[in-house]
Amino acid sequence: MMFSKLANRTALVTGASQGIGRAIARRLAAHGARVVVSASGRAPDLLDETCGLIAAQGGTAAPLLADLSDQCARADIIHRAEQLFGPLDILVNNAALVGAYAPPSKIDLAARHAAFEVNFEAPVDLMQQVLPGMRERSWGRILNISSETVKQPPPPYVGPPKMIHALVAYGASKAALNRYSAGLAAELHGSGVHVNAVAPYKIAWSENADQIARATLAFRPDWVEGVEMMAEAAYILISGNHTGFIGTSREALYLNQTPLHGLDGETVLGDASTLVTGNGG
Amino acid sequence: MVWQADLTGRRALVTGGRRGIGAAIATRLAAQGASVIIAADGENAEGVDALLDQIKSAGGQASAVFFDLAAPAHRRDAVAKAGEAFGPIDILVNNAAANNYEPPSSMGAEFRRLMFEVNVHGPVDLMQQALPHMRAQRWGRIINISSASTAQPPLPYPGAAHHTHGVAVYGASKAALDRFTIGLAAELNGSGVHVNALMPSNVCVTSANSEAARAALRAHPDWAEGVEMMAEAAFLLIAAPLSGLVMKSRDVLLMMQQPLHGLDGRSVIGDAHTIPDLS
Repeated sequence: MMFSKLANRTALVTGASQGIGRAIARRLAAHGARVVVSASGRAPDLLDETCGLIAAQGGTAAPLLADLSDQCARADIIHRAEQLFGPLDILVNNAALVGAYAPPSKIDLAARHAAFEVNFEAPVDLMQQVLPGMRERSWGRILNISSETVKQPPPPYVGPPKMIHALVAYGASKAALNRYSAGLAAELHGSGVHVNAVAPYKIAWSENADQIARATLAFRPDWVEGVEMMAEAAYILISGNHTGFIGTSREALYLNQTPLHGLDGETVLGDASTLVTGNGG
Repeated sequence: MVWQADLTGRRALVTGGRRGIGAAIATRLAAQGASVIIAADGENAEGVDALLDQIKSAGGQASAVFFDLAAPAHRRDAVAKAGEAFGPIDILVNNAAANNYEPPSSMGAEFRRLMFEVNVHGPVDLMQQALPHMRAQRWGRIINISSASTAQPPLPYPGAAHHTHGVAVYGASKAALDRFTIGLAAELNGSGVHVNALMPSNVCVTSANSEAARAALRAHPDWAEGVEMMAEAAFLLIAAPLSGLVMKSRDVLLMMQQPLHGLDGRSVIGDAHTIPDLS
C-alpha cells in the first residue's frame, strides 16, 4: 500500500454491496482504513464479494447486514459497526432508494416516505449516532452521497421527459440531505468533525446503472464517469481538511488538484476531466 | 402575458391561514375577489373566526376547514373538504410549516418526521389532491411558501450561530419542497396549472416570529418586510402566467414592476423596497 493515510482509521460505508459504495469502501481500505461495509439483507453474497475484493488487495473489511429503511432496525447500526473494528472515524452514507419512478403529480405517499426514509432520515440517524464519539475524539469524517437530480435540468431535456419527472421526489430527498449536510458542517465548525456531500457529475457507471450509463455514453459521453471518480472524491474529502463541500466528484478532484487513481489508490488513471472509454469505468 | 387580476369566482385554499403570512395572503386573495378557505389545525384554531369576520366585513367570501396536516389519514380528503364551502379549489397556497429550532446534530427523529410531514409530504399530498380539478379546467395556481433558510447563509452569520443552526433542518425540508415545486411545474408544462415557490426576503414580520427571526431583525432591520409584501407577491404569482419559479417576495414585485398594496388590494403603500418601521 503506497499511501496509508487512513491507517488506524475505521469506516462504515452503507450500500457497499456494489457500485459507488463498493468502490469507496475499496478505496478507503486501500489507504489503510478498516472498513465495515453494510447493505440490506437482500444480497449478502454481494457484500461478501466486496469484502473479498478488499481482502484481495490487502485491506481489512467486515460485512454488516442492516436494514436502513426501518427506524428500529437502524437504531443500533453504529453500535453494531463499532463492535467490529472499534469506534468509527469515517461514515459514508451512500445507500439510497428511488422509492418509485413516478412523476411528482402522482408519486404516492408510501413511495415518498420510503425514499425520504432511506435517503434522508436514515443518514441523519446514523450521523447523530456516530457524532458523539467523533466529537469526543475531535476527529471525524462524514460523507453523504448525493445526486445531480437535486436540480431540475433546464429544457430541452436530454432523453424522454418522463425520466426527468420520475426522479423529482428522489431529487427532493437528496436536496434535503445536501441542505442538512451544509447545516451540520456549519454547526460542527471547529470540532474536527467534517461533513461533505458529493455527487457524480451526472451518472456513475456502476452495476446498477449499467443500462442507463451505456445508453447515455452514446450521445453524451461527458455525462458518464467511472466509479473511481466518486472513490477519488471520497478519498479527497475524507483524507483532507475540507468541510461543507457540496458538489460533484469532478469538482472535488479539480479543487484538490490531484489526479484520478484506480481503486488501489496507486495507479493513475487520469484527472478531473477524464472520460470513460467504451467498455466501462 | 395573460393576467388574471380579478379572482372573482376562483376558490383559494390557504393552509396555516389563521395568522401571519397565511392570513395576509388569504385576506389579499379575498380582496381580489377569490373565495378563500382558511385551513387550520382543529386543535389550534385561535384567530380563525376573527379572520373570517374580518374578510367578510371587508366584502369578501371566506370559510374555514380543519385538519391536522401532520397526519396522513387526517389530510387524505383535505382538498375535497375544502371544496365543500364554495366549490373545487382553483388556487392552493401551502403555507403551514413546522420547526422546533433544534440544530442538525440533535433534532430528534420524531420531530424531523413531523416536520417533513407538515413541510413536504402534506403539501405534496394537497397538490396531488388539487391537481385533477385544476388540470381538467386547464387553470390552477399553486404557491408553496418557502424560506431563505433553504440555503446555508454565508459567514459571518447575521446573529447568534445557534439561530442559524436552528433553521438548517427546516431549510432541508423546504429545499425538498422547492425541488418538488420546480419538478411539478416542469411536469405540468402546458397544462394551465402553474406552480411556484415564494419566500420572504428575508424575514416577514408577524406575530408568529421566532426568537431567531427577531434576533436577525435586530441585527438587520433592512431584512424586515411586512406581511403585505408576501401577500402582494403571492397575488402577482397567481395573477400572472408564470410557473416554476422559486422567488423572494421583493424580487417578484421588482420583476413585474408592481407597487406594494395593502391587504385591501387597492391602497398603494410602497414598492419592492419598502421596509416597515419596527419601532
